Amino acid sequence: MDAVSTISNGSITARIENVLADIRARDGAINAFVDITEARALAQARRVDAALAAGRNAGPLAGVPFAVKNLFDVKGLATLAGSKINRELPPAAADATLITRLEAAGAVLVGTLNMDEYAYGFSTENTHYGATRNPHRPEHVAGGSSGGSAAAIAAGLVPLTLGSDTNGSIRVPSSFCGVWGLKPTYGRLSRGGTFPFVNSLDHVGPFAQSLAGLAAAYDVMQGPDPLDPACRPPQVQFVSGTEIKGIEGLRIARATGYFEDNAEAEVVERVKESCARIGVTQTIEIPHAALARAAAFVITASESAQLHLVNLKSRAEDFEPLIRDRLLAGALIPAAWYLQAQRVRRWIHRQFIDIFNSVDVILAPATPRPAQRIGQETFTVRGIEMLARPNTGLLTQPISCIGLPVIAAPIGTLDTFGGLPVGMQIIAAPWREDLCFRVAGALEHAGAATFIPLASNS
Amino acid sequence: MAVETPIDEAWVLAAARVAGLAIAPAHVAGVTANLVRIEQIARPLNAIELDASDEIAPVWTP
Repeated sequence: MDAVSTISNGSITARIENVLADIRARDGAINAFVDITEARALAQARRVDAALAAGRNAGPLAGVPFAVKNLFDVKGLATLAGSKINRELPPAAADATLITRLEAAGAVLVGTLNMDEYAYGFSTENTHYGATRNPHRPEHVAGGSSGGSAAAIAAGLVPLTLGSDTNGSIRVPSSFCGVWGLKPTYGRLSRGGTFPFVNSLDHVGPFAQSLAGLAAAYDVMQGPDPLDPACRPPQVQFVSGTEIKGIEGLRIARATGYFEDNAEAEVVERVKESCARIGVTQTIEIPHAALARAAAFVITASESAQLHLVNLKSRAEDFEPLIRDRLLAGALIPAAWYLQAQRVRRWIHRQFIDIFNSVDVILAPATPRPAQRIGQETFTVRGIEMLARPNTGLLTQPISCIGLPVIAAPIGTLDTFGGLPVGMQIIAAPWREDLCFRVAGALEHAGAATFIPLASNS
Repeated sequence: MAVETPIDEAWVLAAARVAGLAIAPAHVAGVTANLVRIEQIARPLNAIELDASDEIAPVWTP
């Protein structure tokens, strides 16, 4: 059964009660959830049941349980954004725009999810709320910063979650946890009612257990929003059903160069195998990928520090130790570096977009390697030892720097990494999420990409 | 645009004073290491010569 589908038999309320009981029973071992919104969930479930009983259309996501990264405003809760400092904020007066849209479609919010503090991380190792564990191998990270969002899907606690992605924070946990994730075009989905990280680079998007579910959620969340000045999509573009349209006529290429050099050989081989399953033989080298990553890195360091400057001046000790020194350093970046990074970003964008004159979709690994252990400081990629946390986003940052739409597709597990999942980026030109879904659908149909269930001994 | 003076703890403390930031002694080494890393990453960006048509993104829309 498609986990994200209109539930037409049985009581929604009873199903949500079971979901809540399951979260209480099993989340302790994973630590995906921070808050469980039980009363609200049951109230919504009863409304959906009443609508169905009255023969009314309860929405395309009627009764579907979902949870959100805790940087999304949930009415009545302080928006923690993974932090200790935000506990002091007043409760949110209104829900984030995407929560409102999902609930209007009948979905049921069951809780909020753990993340790296202020989204500044790729591992969801959070000193205040604990690390989120990878459901496949609990001694390993779930990825970040939307680690709770991916882990909750991987563990089967909910079929749909929301996360955010500035430099890879949907794509990295998708890859590490073996679930589907969508980072849409910059400005496609509203960030209204979310706590920011880097306004120049922040995206929001869904995770799901199924590709069809990802499409369904994405469709109901689309549309402009005056609360987010960056959300000005050219038009709503429904994608449900496009995943079965096939890839005839599409020009698809696998990224080489930077995207091979910065990934372990086994990861590259798995991507090649996935490409072969759908007949992709063309390769392409993306120009200036390293520079795009560098620009995103500097922009992130500078903007995030400025956002938190008041608190960095008055209460630095209350920040997450893993990010405090990074934020303080970012506050000292010369303005000339930041401005140069933004101008280089514009310069790279022109050349990046030219690529799409000769190719429609690009395939690339999502992460250099599968998930590292919780607490691991360094890892090795192609024989080179490097810091684990900042370098987990080596392959995602160049793409989000330009704001291109990406589906993170789960393409299996690697035996040489203890059976941990690995993911692939399906990248298209701006506003062409439909092409991402078509290629994702072809991969799924070919058996090359699918949600990775937990092994029986997990 | 290269930084003429190498980034070290003295540089960090001087820059912090200008920025109005008080960095606790226990964090100076970590902040310095992070800023050195940022400078290394920024160096190839700063070496690119751009022309006036390469505008800062995003463009302000009134």
